[in-house]
Amino acid sequence: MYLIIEGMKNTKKKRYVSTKTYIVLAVLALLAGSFIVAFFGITHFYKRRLKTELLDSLQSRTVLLAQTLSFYDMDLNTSDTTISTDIDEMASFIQGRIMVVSRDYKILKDTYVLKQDDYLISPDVMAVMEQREASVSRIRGNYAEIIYPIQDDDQVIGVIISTADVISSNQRFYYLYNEIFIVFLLLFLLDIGVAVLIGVRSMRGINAVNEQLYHMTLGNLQDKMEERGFKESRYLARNYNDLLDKFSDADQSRNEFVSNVSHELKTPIASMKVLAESLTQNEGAGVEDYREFMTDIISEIDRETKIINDLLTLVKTDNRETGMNFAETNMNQMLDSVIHTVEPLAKLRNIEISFENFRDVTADVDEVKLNLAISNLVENAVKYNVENGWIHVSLNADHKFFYIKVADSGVGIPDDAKEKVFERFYRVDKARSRDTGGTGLGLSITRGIINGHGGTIKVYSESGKGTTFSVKIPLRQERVEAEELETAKVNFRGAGVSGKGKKKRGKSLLKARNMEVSKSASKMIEAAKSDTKVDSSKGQTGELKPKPEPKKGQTGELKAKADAKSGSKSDSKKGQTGELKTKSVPKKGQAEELTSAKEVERTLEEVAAAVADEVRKADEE
Amino acid sequence: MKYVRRMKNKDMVQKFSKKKNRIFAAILLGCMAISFAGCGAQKQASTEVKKLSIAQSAGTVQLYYIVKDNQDGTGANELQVLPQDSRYQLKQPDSIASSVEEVMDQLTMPSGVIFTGYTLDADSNVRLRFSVADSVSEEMLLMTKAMIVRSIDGLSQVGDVALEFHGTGAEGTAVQDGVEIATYTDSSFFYYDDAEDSAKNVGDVVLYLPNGNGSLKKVVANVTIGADDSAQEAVLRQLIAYEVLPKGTKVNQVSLMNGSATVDLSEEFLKDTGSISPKIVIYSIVDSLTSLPNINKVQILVAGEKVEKYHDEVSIAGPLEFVEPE
Repeated sequence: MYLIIEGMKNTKKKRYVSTKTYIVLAVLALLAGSFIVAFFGITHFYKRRLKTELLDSLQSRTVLLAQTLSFYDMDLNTSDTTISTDIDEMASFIQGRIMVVSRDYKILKDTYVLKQDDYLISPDVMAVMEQREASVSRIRGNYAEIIYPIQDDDQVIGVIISTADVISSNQRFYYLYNEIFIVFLLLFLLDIGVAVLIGVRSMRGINAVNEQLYHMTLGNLQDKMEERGFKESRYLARNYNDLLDKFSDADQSRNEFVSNVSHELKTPIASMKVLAESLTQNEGAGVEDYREFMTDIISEIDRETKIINDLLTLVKTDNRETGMNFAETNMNQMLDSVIHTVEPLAKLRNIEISFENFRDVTADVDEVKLNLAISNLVENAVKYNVENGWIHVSLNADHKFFYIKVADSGVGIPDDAKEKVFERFYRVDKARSRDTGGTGLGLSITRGIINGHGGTIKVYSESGKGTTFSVKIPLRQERVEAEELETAKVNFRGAGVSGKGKKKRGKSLLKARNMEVSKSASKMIEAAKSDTKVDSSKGQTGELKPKPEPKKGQTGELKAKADAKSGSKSDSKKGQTGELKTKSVPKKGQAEELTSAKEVERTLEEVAAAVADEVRKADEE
Repeated sequence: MKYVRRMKNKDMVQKFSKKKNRIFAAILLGCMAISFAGCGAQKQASTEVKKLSIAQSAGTVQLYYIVKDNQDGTGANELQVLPQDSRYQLKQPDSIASSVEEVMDQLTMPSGVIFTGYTLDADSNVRLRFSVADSVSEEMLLMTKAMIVRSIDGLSQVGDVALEFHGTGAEGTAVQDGVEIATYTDSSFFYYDDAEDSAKNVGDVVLYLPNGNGSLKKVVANVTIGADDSAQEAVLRQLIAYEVLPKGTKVNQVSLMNGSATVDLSEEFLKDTGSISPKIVIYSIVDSLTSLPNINKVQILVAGEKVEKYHDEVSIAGPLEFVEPE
C-alpha cells in the first residue's frame, strides 16, 4: 500500500477522488435519503392515523352530546343539569373547541367564550341545519372537525360543532417525532462506520492488485499475480497473468527465431570460410582447384542471398497493412500460368501435372503474392516427389470462398513434422533440402500470404504416399473483414452484458478475455516495433539487436510496458498509449488470428530485413 | 472490453468525480439539516385573523347583497352575503337619517322580508323594522340580518343597530315568537368556514390584573385563542404575557372537572414574583379563570404536584374560589 503511494507520488500532481470515498459518500447519501423518507413517511402515516382516531373519538363524543342536548331541549342554562359545565370539560379534555348553535344560528355555547351569543354563518352548518347533509366529519389540515345535528323528532333544532387539533391533543406525537429522529440519528452514525467498512472492503481487491502491479513494475516480472478477493479483481489478476504469459511466449519465440536466423545465415558463411581457408592453406592448389572452390563459394553466396531474399519476402508478406494489393483476379488463369512455369521442372523428373478446373473463379487477391504462394506449393510438390510421380491441382469455389488443392504422390510428411512444416527454417529432411536448394522459408511465406488474404492452409499427408495442401481463401476481402470485425464486437458485448445463469457466459467471457489479451499484446508489440524501426532506420545496426532501446531510459523494455499497463498516470505514457491505440485500430478484424508471438517475430523480421539491406548495400559497394 | 472502456473514460470520470463529490456532500448536509429542522421545531400558533379590508373613502359605504349559489351541483342553494363590486356614494353623507334610508333603499331584500320603517334615537342608535312572511327560512333571515347589519354598520355615525322582525310566529317559521328584537354589530356574525378558522380566534375575555395598589382590577382584554390551546390556557398565557406570573412560567395543562379547573404550571411559577405580592398573583389567576363560564374553583399545581403555600404566604393546597377584589 505504501509502496503504491510512494510510487505514484512522483507522477501524480492532482489529487484524485478514491473509489472508497465515493462509495462511502454514496452509501451515506443513500442512507440519509432513505432515513429522511422513512422519517417523514412514518410520521406522516402516524399523523394520519392519529387524525382518524381523533375524528372517531370526537364523533362519538359529539353524538353523545347531541343526544344529551336533545334530551334537555337545548336548554343549557337549566339549573338541574351540569350540561354547560360538561361541555366545557369535554372541550378541555379534547383540547379543542365545542360550539352549540341553535336553529336560528345563534351560538348558545362557545367553549372559547369569544363568540358566545353571536350568529354563525357557515355553509356547512346551514347544510346540516337544512338536512341537506346528515352531518360533517372531516380532517382539515391538522384539525378534526365534526358538525352534527341536534334532532328532536326528525326536526333539526340545533347543531354541535366540535373541533380538535390533532397535534395538541396528542403529546405522544412529539415524543414520537423525537424518538424516531434519535433512533435514525443513531442508526446513521452507526452506518457511517458500516459505509466506511463497505468502501474499504470493496476496494481491497483492487488495491491488492495495484500493489502487486507496482511490485512487478519494479522488475519482478516472473511473479504471478495472486487471484483473490472479488470476481473483478480475480479477473483482473487472471488477465494480467495471461498477459504476462503471452509476453514470455513472445519472448521465447523471438529468441528461437533469432537463433534460427543467425544459424541459417551462418551456415553458408561457415562453408565459405572453410572453402576459403582450405584454399589459402593449400599452397599447391592450382587454377582448377581455385575455380572449383570459387564456384562453391559463389553457390554458397547465392544460397545466402536466397535466404535473405526469402526472409525479405516473408517480412513483406507478413506486413499486411502495407503489403497487400488486392485486385480482382482470374484465379483459373493464375493457376494455369503457375503450372505452366513449373511444368519444365516437372518434366525433368517425368512428373505429370494435372489441373482440375471446376468453375471460373475471380477473387480479390494480391496476384503477385498469391502466385508466389501457389508456386511454392507446386514447386514443393515437384521437389518432394518421386520420379514418374503425379501432381494434381484443383480449383473450386462456393459463394464465399475459393479452394485450391495441390496433391502429390511424393515422399509425404511424417506425422510428427506436420505441425512444423509451416515454421521458419524447418525442414523435414535437411540433407534433401540442401540438395533441392530450399531455405526452409517457402511454406512460411506461403502461409503468411494466405493468412494475409484472410485464408487458411491445411496439410494432409501420409509418409511415403504423398501430401495434399488445401487452401481456402475468401473471394472478397473487405466484406469478410467487416464481418469478422462484427463477430468480434458481438463477442465483446456478449462478455459485457450476458446475464447470469447462462452457460455461455463463461466461455464468451474467456474468449473476450483472450482477445483482450492478444490485443493488448499486439499493441505493445507495435510499440516495440516502432522503437525497432527508429533504431534500424538510423542505420546503427550491423548486427541483430533484438532488444530495442527503451524510450524513457528505463532498464528493460518489458518493465516499460508493465509501467504503461499498471495504471500509473504519467502524461508521457498517456500519450504513448494513445498512439498505440490508433495504430491498432485497423487490425481489429484480424484480432482472432493474431498471436503476439507472431507479432514479435515480425518485428524481428524487420530487423532482419534491415540487416539484409545493410548486407546488400555492403555487397553492392 | 470493460476495462479498456474504463481506461478511455478515465479522464472524463476524474473530471466529474470532484463535482460529484461536492454534490454528494451538499446533498448529505442538506438531508441532515432537513432532518434536524423537521424534528425540533414546534409549530407556532398563528394569530392571523381574516380581515375584510375594503378601502374606505369619504361619503361612501360598502353595501352587501345575498346570493344563492349553486356550488356543489346538488340543487341546494348555498346562501352567501357578498360585498357589492363598488362602494355606494351617499347623496347626503352628513345626515344619518337620510343615509340609513338611502342604504335601505339600495339593499335588495329577499322576497318575504319587507322593510317597514326605522327609528333613530339621540345616541344615533338605529332600530329597523321588518315584516317577515312565513315562507322565509331561518337561513334567509340570518343572511338578511347579516346583509343589513354589515351595510348599516358601514355608516360611521351610526351607533348600535337593532333589528325588529315581525312575523306570524307560526310553528316552523323563522320568527318564532311573532316579534324578534336584537342588537347587532358587524362582529355579531361569525363567518365560519372550517376548523382552522374556528381554532384561531381573537376575542375579548375578562382578566383580573394588578392595579399597582396592591389590589386587582377587572380588565377586558383582547386575546387570541390559538390552535393548540383552550380559553383557560389563553387566559393564563395572557397573564404571563402581562408579567403577572413570573417570567418563563409555562402552562403545562388545564383540565376541567365538575366546575373546578386544575391548572398545572411549570416550576418557574415558584420564582420571585417581583413587585407583585404572591397573593395578587394567585388571585389574578383564580379570579380571571373563574370569570370564564362554568369555572367555580381553581386548583393550582406546580409541575404536577400540589404546593402547600405559595411563597410561604398563600395557601394553594386546595381549590380556591373567586374573591372580589377590594
